[in-house]
Amino acid sequence: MKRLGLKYMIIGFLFILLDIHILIDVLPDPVGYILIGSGIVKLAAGQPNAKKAEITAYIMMVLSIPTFFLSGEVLQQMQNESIGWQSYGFADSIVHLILVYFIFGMLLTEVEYVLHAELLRGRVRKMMIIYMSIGLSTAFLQPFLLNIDENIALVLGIGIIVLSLIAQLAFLVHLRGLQKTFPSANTDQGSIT
Amino acid sequence: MKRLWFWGALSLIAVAWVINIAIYETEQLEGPIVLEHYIELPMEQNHLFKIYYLTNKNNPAILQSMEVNGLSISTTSLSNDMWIYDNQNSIQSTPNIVQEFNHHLLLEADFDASMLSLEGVEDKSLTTNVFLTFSDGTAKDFDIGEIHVTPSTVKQESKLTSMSTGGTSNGLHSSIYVAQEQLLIDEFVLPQILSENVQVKVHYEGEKARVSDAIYQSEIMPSWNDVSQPLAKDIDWPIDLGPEASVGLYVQIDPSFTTAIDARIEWMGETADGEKFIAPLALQHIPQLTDESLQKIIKQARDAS
Repeated sequence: MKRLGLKYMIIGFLFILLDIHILIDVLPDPVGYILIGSGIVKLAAGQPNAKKAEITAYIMMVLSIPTFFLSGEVLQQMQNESIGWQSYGFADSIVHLILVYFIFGMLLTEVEYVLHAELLRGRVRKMMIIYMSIGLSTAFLQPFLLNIDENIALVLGIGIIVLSLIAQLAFLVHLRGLQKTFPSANTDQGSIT
Repeated sequence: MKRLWFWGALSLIAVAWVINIAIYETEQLEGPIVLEHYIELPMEQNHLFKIYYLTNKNNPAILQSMEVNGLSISTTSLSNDMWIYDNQNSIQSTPNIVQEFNHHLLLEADFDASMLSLEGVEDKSLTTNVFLTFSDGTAKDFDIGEIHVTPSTVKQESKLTSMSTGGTSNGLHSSIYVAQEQLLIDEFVLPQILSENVQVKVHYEGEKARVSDAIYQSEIMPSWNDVSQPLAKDIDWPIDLGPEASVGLYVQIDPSFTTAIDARIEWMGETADGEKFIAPLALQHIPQLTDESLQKIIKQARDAS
């Protein structure tokens, strides 16, 4: 059950990370958030952080509906031209950070691990510090791109993209590592790598 | 990570967003701002003249046409190798970018002077207000300085011919003229709009002397102070110039001058027979705005509106 929950979450985050547009987003972000919400329920249903994470996932599902129709480039162009879309971009990145924060809270205190629970919680704590440090600092620096010199903004923008990508990938690898600690339906045995 | 740290950091991020969006919005122009120009050119030439204007970097307004004396002409040289989306998401060709700032662009638009058909006009045409149409829907009269268009005239044999012209990147221009016959040359006078920011020195060594161009002779790029000749206003005008003798003009345009210049300034005189002649001095200046001059132009435009 928990292994399946983490599988749902990994696939959900992959849907959000990958942006493949052929007229529409073929890996729709709203579907990704539904998968994350379902995964959360399977991992720690009814727990305080899990509840908050689930609600946040469904808020993100609604917020991400425009990305189903609009590619990242078009959305960026619209954000450049309209304060409304700029605010949308801001809300999207902040609520996503809040979702991951609640997920970390859930993984840290509410998920019952089968093997080496303390070791795994220690790893979750480390991952949370790394992810949140990158996520919060890039979210803080992002609005300054609007007003600083273009050459500096270009370097800073690339840095933000690269750091965010590294954080997202590290988070996915971390979830996969946690998933392996739960026994699958076939083997009934987990492992730590 | 302590819970309060997370929410505190989020609050800080929200404040950073609000402040930066507020700064960004205050920097945005309500409409394009056209710089001041001094354009003086003959209509018979197939000569392109440029109009310089400031617009927002995001969603720029592109100058499409101008109307002078009731005649509308379109821009001629929009480059087709680049394109942008305008606010209706339709593709626009981009004009040349002269300067790029954090929030604004200084753009240029080319117009063909020969399109300004001024049939029946005998004297110089003067225009200070032109009706400009931009891609963002802005269409109104702009005070753009002065545009003088000289109607076609029969070309006369030149009495004072240009022997060499030169220029440096710091706005120093030179032009050496040779007399074809005995001439009496009037004072070189700049238009009023240029007089405060453009200075002229005259290299004249007498009726029969020949002068050479200091810009070409110098091993290093000369500056205005290296030109040791007197200012035009200190010369005892008019001056005599015999056949094959030469006279030089050195013109310094203040590099911070924000008025665009594309002009053929007329230098007049007469021959020994009393025949009047005109020798033109070509003068061009593309404004290079500093952040300070940019803010000053924007403030003036906002105050005026």
